[in-house]
Amino acid sequence: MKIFLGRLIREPLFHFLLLGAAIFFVAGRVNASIGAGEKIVVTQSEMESMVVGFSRTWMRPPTQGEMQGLVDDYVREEVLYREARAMGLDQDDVIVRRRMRQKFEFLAEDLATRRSPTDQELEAHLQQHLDRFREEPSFSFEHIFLSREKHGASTEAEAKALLAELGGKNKGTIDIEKRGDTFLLPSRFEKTSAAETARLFGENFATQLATIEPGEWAGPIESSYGLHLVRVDARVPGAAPPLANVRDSVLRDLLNDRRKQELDTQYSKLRARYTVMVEPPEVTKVAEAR
Amino acid sequence: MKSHKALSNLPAFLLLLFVAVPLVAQDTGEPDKASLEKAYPSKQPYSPYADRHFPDRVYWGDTHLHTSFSMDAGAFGCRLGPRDAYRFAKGLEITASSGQPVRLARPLDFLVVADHSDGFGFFPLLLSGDPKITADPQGRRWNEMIKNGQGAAAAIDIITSFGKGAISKAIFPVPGTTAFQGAWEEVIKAAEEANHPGRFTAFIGFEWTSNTGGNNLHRNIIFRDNASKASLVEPYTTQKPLGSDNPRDLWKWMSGYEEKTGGHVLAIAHNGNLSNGRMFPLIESFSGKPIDREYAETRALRERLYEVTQIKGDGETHPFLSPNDEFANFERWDKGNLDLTVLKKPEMMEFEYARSALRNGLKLEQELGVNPYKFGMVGSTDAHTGLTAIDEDNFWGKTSSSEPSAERATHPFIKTSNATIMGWEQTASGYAGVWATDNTREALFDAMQRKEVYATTGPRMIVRFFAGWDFAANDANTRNPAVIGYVKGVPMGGDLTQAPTGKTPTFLVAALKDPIGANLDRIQIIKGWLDAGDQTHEKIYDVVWSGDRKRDAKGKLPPVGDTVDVPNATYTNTIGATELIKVWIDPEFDPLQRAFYYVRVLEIPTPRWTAYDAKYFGIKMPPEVPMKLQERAYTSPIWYTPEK
Repeated sequence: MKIFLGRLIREPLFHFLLLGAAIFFVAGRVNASIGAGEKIVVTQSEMESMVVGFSRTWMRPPTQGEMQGLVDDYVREEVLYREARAMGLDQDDVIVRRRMRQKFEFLAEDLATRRSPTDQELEAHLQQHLDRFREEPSFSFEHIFLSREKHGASTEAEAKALLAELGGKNKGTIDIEKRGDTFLLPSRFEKTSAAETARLFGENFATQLATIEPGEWAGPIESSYGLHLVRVDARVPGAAPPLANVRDSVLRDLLNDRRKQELDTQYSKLRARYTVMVEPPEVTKVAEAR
Repeated sequence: MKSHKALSNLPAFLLLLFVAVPLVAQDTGEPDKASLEKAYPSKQPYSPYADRHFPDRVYWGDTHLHTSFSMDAGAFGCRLGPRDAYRFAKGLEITASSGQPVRLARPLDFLVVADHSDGFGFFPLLLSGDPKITADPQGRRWNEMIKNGQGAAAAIDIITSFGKGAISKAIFPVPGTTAFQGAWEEVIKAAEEANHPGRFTAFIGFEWTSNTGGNNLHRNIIFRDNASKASLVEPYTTQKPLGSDNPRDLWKWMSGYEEKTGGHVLAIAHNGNLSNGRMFPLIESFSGKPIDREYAETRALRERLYEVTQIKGDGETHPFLSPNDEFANFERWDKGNLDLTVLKKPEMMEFEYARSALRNGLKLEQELGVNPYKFGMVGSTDAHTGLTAIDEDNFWGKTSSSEPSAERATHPFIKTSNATIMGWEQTASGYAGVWATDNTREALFDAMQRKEVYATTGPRMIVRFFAGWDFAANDANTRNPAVIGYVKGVPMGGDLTQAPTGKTPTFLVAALKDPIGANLDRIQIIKGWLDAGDQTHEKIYDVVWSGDRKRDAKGKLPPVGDTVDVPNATYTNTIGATELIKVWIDPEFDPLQRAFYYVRVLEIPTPRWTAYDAKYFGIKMPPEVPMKLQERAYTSPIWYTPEK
């Protein structure tokens, strides 16, 4: 029994029903006994929330005078709100209608997102919408820059000579930090996406980099700045990521989808209860003309 | 490029400690060389990458973008919200408010959506014809104007009324109202969703729009924190009684936020050029009294950056203030205040432009012991379109009504009985470059606070600037100049204190052109100083330039040339340099005089947005419209402060 109650208390539908009952009850009371003798109780918790609201803006709690002002305003709003409702002022108001609709939609959305998806559900969602989560291809590489402004017509030749040296008998012992020309970008890039590489070096460089086999020094390839010898250590093709890497995005996306679905289902259920007749335009016009 | 796991932030933290030393050195005395060397061991470890804790990447962004949530943006026809703005900044194609498809040439790395806090969420209400709005005569009039297609006229009336404090109290969303809170929640939610540590940073922010009398004292507020802290407050406004138009009250609000939440916020002012002498005051406009130590301390703490260039004009300096600067006359908006209700007088300018403020800051520091105007520099757009698009060939204007069209250049942008600013006067500028260790809210924010940032008018050139006592000419020839830069000196935004006997400051400066942009003309260092008679001065040094140009007898460097083909809106990179680098020694250093140094990098001439418009729309611009420009970058200064 206890377990059942505990579960019941956590059950969104239960909240929904409870809320509905409460609204029904309050609405009934208001309609029955509006006007003289009606009681307005400003509860402790109401006042607490006024203090919180005030402090958020002012960064300090209200003074006694200000508190009185807040309470007076609350009472004024409550009186006018009840009277306005009794007079049916909420009936034809676009803003009120929209707000009610919005509240209903929030409620439905809440239903959709209250239950956390399981790992299996997330995995299924990922597989179903792989295109939304696919990772870009990326490279890890080093490069040596050769400036055309510095070497002029012999830039290519110098690049080729350096390439030969890098692959020659001193292979692996050459300090690449001491070779090539001054350059303001780092000489090593880790797991840098193709798009990012293009943004830093220019399109041409990124395109050519993609064709270079990992392992050995290669090139030269041309960037927006000059020539580069490059050594790609690792090339990660654009791949479907494992769930662990994109969990948050998948969760957000799945909840988003569920929200939409829930709204649609709820709506079509409710919609089924109504018969809708839309008058043809001519009729409306005639009605207006009268 | 880098993982954003907690551990990898350790080096960033260490770096922060290191670069923070010069910042606090004002109060703690000279940094101890030995301890600095410990932070940077002089012997390289075997792995050349092991001790690299310094920022090796520039992250590009806009700290100042408006969406339909800003009342004036909405009034001018903007229908894009914060979510659209972030998507666009990430490089996705969207549909602009004018119905045209739009996309950036390259994504940005970060964005701050900074909507006006006053009237937050006002426009959606006005547009929907909310009964509270239409019950008020003013609200009803605006609602009807917009419905009848007079949105632009309504917008101008709204902005002018706001400037005069003449918006009816009954219709203006203020903190505490549902409309205001709802808008703030939306802004926060949009930033949280778009923020992707390591790949794209979406900052939570807003603009505090102090505009009394039409004088622009605006500040953008940026949060280092996420929703859990930012949502504990509501944006500070300028309208009494909840808000205030006095920056001192904004700073109090900022302290209040930090004390309450343990979070961090910073403020960036902009458009001193439209403040009519009030942005960088010696006499506070609010009290009529000279600024005091408390003002200076608080401003130096809260406003470490200034937005020096944006669509409503470039604010580095003005020909009136810098008659010897041949590049001073650049994209100036100097006719009046923001709403052109009061015309500009020359004597106002000293208190409006960045360079003169940096100079007056030295003077104030001499008097008060603190420099209130010790700011670094960023550029941003201040676009009111939801589109951070300011490339000359992809410029989407200040407001949605100035999105690309055949008429936008030749229609007045603002017109009053006093003066007119034409559409073509809009400046396609700027962006902020941030030297950070990672692309996260924390890393970028911290870089901004240590002023390791620079402004550009749009192009993404890479600029390095270091100062120290021991740079040698050969340091410019090392493979990666940043390594020697950080070892021997402080980066942009840093400090040099008391010169060692007989030493002169040395500077390592370097720039690399935008990979898809124009070549570089030259690098200049701009020095300002305070002499023994408490007078300030400025001087511009050409430090390194393209080609084999020689200075003339007067020391002037000939222009780089001009390849712009205006009718076709093209240029060629056959002149200029892709990369410039040099070690420079101040030839006129006096160890007893306070000074600042910042770098200005100039590109070769390129077509201005007006040339691209003329070509695309097949129109002829009036003769007074400039059709080319030299884009530029301004770094944060490095200050020299002698011992007291």
